[in-house]
Amino acid sequence: MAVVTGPAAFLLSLLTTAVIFSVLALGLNLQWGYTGLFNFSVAAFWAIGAYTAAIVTRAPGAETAFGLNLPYLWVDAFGVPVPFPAAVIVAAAVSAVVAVIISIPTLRLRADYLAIATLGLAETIRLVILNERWLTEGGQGMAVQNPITGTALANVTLFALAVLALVLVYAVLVRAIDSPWGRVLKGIREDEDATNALGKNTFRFKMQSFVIGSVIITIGGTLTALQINYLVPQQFNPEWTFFVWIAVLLGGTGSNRGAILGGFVLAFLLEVPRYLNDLIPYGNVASNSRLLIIGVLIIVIMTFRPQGLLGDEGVAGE
Amino acid sequence: MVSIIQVLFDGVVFGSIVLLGAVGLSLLYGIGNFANFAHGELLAVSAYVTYLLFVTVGLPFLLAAAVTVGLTALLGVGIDRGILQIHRDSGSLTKLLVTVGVAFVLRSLIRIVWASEPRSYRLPLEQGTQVLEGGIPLGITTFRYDLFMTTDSLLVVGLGGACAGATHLFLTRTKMGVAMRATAANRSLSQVTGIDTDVVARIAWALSAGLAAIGGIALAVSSGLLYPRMGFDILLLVFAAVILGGIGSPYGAMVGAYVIAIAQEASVLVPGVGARYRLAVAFVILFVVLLVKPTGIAGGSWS
Repeated sequence: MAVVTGPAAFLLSLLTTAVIFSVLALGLNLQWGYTGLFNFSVAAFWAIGAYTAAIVTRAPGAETAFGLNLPYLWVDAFGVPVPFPAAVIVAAAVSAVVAVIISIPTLRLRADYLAIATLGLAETIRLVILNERWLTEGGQGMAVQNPITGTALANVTLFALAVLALVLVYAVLVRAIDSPWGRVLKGIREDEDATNALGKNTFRFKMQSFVIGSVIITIGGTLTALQINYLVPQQFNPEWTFFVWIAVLLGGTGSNRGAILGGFVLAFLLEVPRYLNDLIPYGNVASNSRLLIIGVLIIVIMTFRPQGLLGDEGVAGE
Repeated sequence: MVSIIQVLFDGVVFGSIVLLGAVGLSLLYGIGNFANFAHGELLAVSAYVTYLLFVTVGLPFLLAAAVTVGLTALLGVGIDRGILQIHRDSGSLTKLLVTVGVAFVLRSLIRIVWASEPRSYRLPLEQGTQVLEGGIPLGITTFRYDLFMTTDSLLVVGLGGACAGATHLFLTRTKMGVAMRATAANRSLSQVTGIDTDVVARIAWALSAGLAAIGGIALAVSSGLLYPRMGFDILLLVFAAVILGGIGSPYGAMVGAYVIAIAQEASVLVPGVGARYRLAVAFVILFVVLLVKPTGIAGGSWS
């Protein structure tokens, strides 16, 4: 089989990005769309996925912790880097722990506390990635020990992996949402007090939803690590959080199919102009107006169609 | 060792700026029942508008600042009439998301008009005075009590105090202030008693944006720097101050602002944390407050 290059490779990479965005949007949709939880840390959990995967798969011999010649994680302690599939599990575990910690003080309170706290969490994680050079190599960026680069069909393999992840996440979510568990989440979204009165421990359900959603976003992050091969903190700017929000709001709050649609629309909106940059002057204006478009889109969607394109009608009455 | 007196003083100066942001945010939180994520951007926009009037147009600084405060108050009213008025009966989460949209629009406009490079008012550099100098030897270390201050920093402290006092008088001595507190306590009941809550909300926006403008200009003067992210960077501190003080209580927000700012300045003293994690300090305090006493200092009361 021939190696995929040229326009076909561009299309493939665009589709891969779209699939990864869809995974991120599915994670956020579980939190916001189904449970009504704010998460302004999407970019941070995405970064946790990419960086954790990159860190634990790093080859031995990298800089040691604090420059003290102590064994650097298990890579130095055991001499063998973690294989990538296992690294995904490690990344998921790390993000689950972070999600639980942030949930404990905020999920018992009114919903906007979670928004403010996750905004702070995102900033803190950004600072950690930027400053802890021994761990993340800071602003200079970190290479990923990518098991699939160099193989003949690297881009096809990556696309297949991304699609596999998307299908798995989607299948699990559809079943979960149709289950009694999913009905409780929707109940919390519509009326938390009533759900509580029915004897459901809403705090526990909210935490489960938040943690699972964050883990899904993290899985998207590990795919991104494989896609971009070289991680820099700017890749995970806080702006990305709101790009994913747009995908969910546009596609349809409380609809898994909507989240996937939103992920695809987002990828085309973000990636296609990047390749048109050579044709249009004032590239700087284009990247600044991207922010403007996000802002206007959020206002317009929330004002005129809060349920999005494929959304759950019930959300609109909120 | 760094002088602790100096750290406290710097904290109070910075706290005065945070206060100017926090009082307005808290006011709006109480009356509109939503977290205004565009509040930081109001600070940034006003800093840039002053730059436009002072550096580009060439007005005297104080006139430029005064015009900016007026314009920002109008902008606040404009945001309310144009966008948030439609959402008067929406849930607080919908409103929150709408303000995120407003924040992005404002920040992108800043970046389109003034580009991303940092700017400065280039005010004449100030000499400043060394008020205290010296130290008391304490075993292995010395307790320094040096204190250095500039007129600017004293002005900022005075301005913060004056605005806090004026807000207090407005809320307690004027009819509109009382109506505002009533609306925050119970909007439907206030409407029944004949208060026009739409007008109240509009005045609250004007006041909140005006205070934010003073804060934004003070921030740009005292840090000497304007950059598009400046509003976002201070927003987290302002939120932390508001939550520490108790959401919806302008008085709590005043106390919270000083506590957060002093803690942030003092974090430089902690070995290993340093200036790199200054922004994270607000988050840590926020986290602890939410864990221990989520109602904050004032517990949401207005008295």
